[in-house]
Amino acid sequence: MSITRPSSLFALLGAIVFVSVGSFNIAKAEPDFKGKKVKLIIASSPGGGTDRIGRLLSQYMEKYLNGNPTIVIKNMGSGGGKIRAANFLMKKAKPDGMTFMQSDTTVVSPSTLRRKSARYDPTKFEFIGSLNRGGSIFFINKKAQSRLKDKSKKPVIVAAISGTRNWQAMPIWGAEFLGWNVRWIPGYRGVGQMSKALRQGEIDMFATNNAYTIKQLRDDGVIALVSQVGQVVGGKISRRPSYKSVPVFTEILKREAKSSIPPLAWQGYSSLTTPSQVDKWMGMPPKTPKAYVEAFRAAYKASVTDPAFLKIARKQFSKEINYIDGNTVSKLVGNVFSGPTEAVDYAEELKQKYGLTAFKNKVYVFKGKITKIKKKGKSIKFKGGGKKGKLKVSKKTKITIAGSKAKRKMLKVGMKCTFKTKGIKKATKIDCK
Amino acid sequence: MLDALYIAVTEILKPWPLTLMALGILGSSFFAALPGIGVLLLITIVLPFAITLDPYPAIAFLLGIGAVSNTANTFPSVLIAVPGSAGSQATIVDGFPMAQKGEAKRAFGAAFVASPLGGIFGAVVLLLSLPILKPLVLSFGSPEFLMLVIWGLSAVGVLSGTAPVKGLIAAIIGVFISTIGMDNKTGVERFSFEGEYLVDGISLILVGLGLFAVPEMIGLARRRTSIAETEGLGHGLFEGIKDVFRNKWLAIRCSVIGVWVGVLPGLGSSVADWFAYAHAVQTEKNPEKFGKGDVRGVIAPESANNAKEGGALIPTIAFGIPGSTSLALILIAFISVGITPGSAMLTDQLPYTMAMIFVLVIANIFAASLAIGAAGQFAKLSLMPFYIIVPMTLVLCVSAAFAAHFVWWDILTFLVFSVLGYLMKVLDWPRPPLLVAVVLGGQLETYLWLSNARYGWDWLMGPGVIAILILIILTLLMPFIRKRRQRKSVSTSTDGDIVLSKNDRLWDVGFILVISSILVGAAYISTDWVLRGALVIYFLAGIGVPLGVLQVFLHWRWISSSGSKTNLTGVTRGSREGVVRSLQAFAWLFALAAGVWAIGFHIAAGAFVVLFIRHYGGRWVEALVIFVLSEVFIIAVFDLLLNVFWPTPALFEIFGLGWF
Repeated sequence: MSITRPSSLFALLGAIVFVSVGSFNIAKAEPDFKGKKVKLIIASSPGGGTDRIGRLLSQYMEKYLNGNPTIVIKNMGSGGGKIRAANFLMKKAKPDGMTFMQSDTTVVSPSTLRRKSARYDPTKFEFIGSLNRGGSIFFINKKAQSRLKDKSKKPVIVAAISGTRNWQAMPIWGAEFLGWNVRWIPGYRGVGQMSKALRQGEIDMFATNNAYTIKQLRDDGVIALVSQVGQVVGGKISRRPSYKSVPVFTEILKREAKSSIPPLAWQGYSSLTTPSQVDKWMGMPPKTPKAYVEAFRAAYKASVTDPAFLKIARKQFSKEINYIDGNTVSKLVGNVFSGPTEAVDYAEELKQKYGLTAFKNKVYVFKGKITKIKKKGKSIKFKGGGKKGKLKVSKKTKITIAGSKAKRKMLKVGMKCTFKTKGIKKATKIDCK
Repeated sequence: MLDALYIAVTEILKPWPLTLMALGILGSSFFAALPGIGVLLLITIVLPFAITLDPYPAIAFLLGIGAVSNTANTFPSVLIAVPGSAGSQATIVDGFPMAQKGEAKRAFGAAFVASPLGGIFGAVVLLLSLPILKPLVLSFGSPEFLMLVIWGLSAVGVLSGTAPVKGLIAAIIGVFISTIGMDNKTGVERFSFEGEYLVDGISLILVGLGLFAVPEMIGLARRRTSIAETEGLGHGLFEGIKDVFRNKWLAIRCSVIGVWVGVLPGLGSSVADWFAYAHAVQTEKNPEKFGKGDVRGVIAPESANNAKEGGALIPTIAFGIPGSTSLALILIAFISVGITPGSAMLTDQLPYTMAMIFVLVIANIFAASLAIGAAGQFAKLSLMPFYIIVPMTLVLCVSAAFAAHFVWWDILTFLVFSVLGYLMKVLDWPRPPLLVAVVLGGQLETYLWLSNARYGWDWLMGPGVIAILILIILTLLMPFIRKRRQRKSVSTSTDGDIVLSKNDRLWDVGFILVISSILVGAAYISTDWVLRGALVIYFLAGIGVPLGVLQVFLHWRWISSSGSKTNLTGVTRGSREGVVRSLQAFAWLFALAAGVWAIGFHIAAGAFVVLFIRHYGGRWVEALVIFVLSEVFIIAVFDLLLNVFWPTPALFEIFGLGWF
């Protein structure tokens, strides 16, 4: 049976359009939010730390933004959701002062920017402010303590959820420069699972900034605290007030390093750990009008210094919650990305050396000469352009010889070529004369 | 201990905690029945309020929500084959066929008695295990978890019914789906195609909806009847209650399984019901009846999914290690109000522990009574004509799919799984193994990796591992032992046991070729990754493709021996008219999805229900009532309750219209 009265249908559709479309969002020059709906994108699944901070803050920001707007929350998953949210803020969100985002450290980490799906530039975001809950504390099962510096014994097992957490710089640099006897097992599903594994003796070390987890393990006599990432206070990295006796890892590094640490290594360490100082930040799309950014910064500051907010936040997140204003967050993020690319490469190479996830997607183009060919062209050695090394040549590597398309087995020792590589080992294009 | 219990009971029975508990249970029941929304969101919403409460009201309120999160989700599972949440997927396998047989009330009766019994059992186990909490939880490491996951996956065998090869291939597809997304151990974004959508993996709800709900609704639209293929509903509610007592040992065993899944943090909330279902099929008499509307197939998962909540409180109380995301949030609230998990829960804070146990018991009884009271009314839905049920369910499915991330890709993914689910249904592929494998696949890879990385192959010699291995072997052998004893043929099928025609088999060969090509393509793509991340894909392709070849061979042998002519005009079993009707139903679904994309959810859903009902002969008044109900549902749930921020529909984007 078909509908015989289309006019009724159109009337009906018209009515629905009228009811459903709601208000049109026209940005005004004045940051007056009366009667407006402001979108808050939370780069996390409901229930996570980022989500809870965002939801709590939104209640106070509604109160402190001029005109008391309604803040509408949209969660954008975890993991890839963080990147999706950042891409959205960069490319799709209108800079009309009606959209802002709650996100975290991962999004402002250089290694995240090397992921294929990341299509944003965090230095372009308009930062509103951030809350730092105190840096991660690194601890060890007491039973494994004696093995940490004794390479003749079984390695101490460091567990991780993934290979991308900022605190991992501590054991990596510890292994490289302090001779720590560690072995990595990434792949755990969460801090809870790692706590249980540590109690069972399945793993020996990990780090978290969750004071509650640390307290439980300490109260039960399971762990000894080793070091901490530290917390930015007054522009300097210092020890968390609750963990005054635990040294910041860089203090140990300076004190106990077995060889001199090259500047690139310090920069690499910094590229991994500095983003953690930003912690749970809020930001707006690039080119959001200054007046709106300032309005949000003021509301953020008022919210995070509200005694009622602090009471709840200290209960829910950390006793050492530390407010960082938007300008400082911008500077911190700027510093992270102003460092040399080589420092990030250095950090990623060290991560790879210790069996962790490394994002070495940087594309290199250089000229050189083929010095050796192995496995019918599947692997070649080269020299030139200040570089020397080995490259993997796959079936997907585009090869041309004298302008004509060629196969890898046609490569010969002595050919002068231009190499294009992804990271430092994988050739994506080889153009030989 | 009795003093502590007395304090707990008197504190919880005060008006304020009781009111909060009732509100929590009502809210939880409402959220649990909404597919794709879930109770986790409710806890997130109430958390800022909960942390301002005193300890006893906080326990009453939050555990009131958490304890019954798997009770009301039975309604959509049984009535429309839509999983209310991950914990109610297995209920569909027998619950929906029961509704089709006019036994929805019986299914509800069984579910709403099995559920609280399981919940109370979980609470009792929690009480009894207090002195041995720590060694209990610490006895399971990664290798033992791995063995438990393998035990769960062994269910694939029995869930495959008369098509074991297809069941295995379906399980391989399931594990393959679970590999999509970020691989934590290597950082490889598997099959994300450099985009951002698939980095998070595929949401389980999209797979569940596509595999079960849509094929059943398409089937209903093809039959053009009501869900119940009978005249009335009978007096099944009491019968269902009696069924639980008739099968009390099954209910108890499945409650034990539920408690254990809860006790072990890391197994996830969605596996308890599948473990219990598989256990029932493996150990009960007449397994051939499962999948065709056997009440034991409802009792088993329903006993397990609420029992899990009590079990999950054990590690939460013992170490502050929450057994689920909901409990992680509840734990935060508990700490905020001054309840400190750990050894103090057995000494100074014992009254709090007792209060938790008491709330688990009371909340389960209250929620089940509420559900039983509403069951009669809900069961009437199974007598409603298809032109009411199909559009309502499809709107619910699309909204649940959209609620995964509120991006268009969710709807597209949902459509892909709908087509896959329908093809599997008509080509007689068992669907439960695929879903079980999606649920457990990720954990299989994780725990295999952790066990090997930590212990090498020594993990195989652990006493716990050996004990579970014996358990797996026994449960796998159980059906054969029983078959031998009964000396009669046992044929188990969870998805019907219709013999495929020659045409169907030719289409099936095509289907297998597509699956095999996908696996080979996936293996080729994964050659770019580090070996650690790619190994599982090679393994799946290495097993899946030969199994596909074997299945093609089985078809070829059957076709050769049947000797009849090949007719390629038929698509599936059933009449040509049936095929046309199925395609029409799919066209409606695709039109709804396209409408959501083009003109937004509110307009598309409203227009869809009106057009569908009128097109299939419904009256204007019916169309308008359903239209109003749909719009009220969307506005109340998505706009007012969840404050959803809708993506701008394509046409609004093109014409530059605002949208919110």
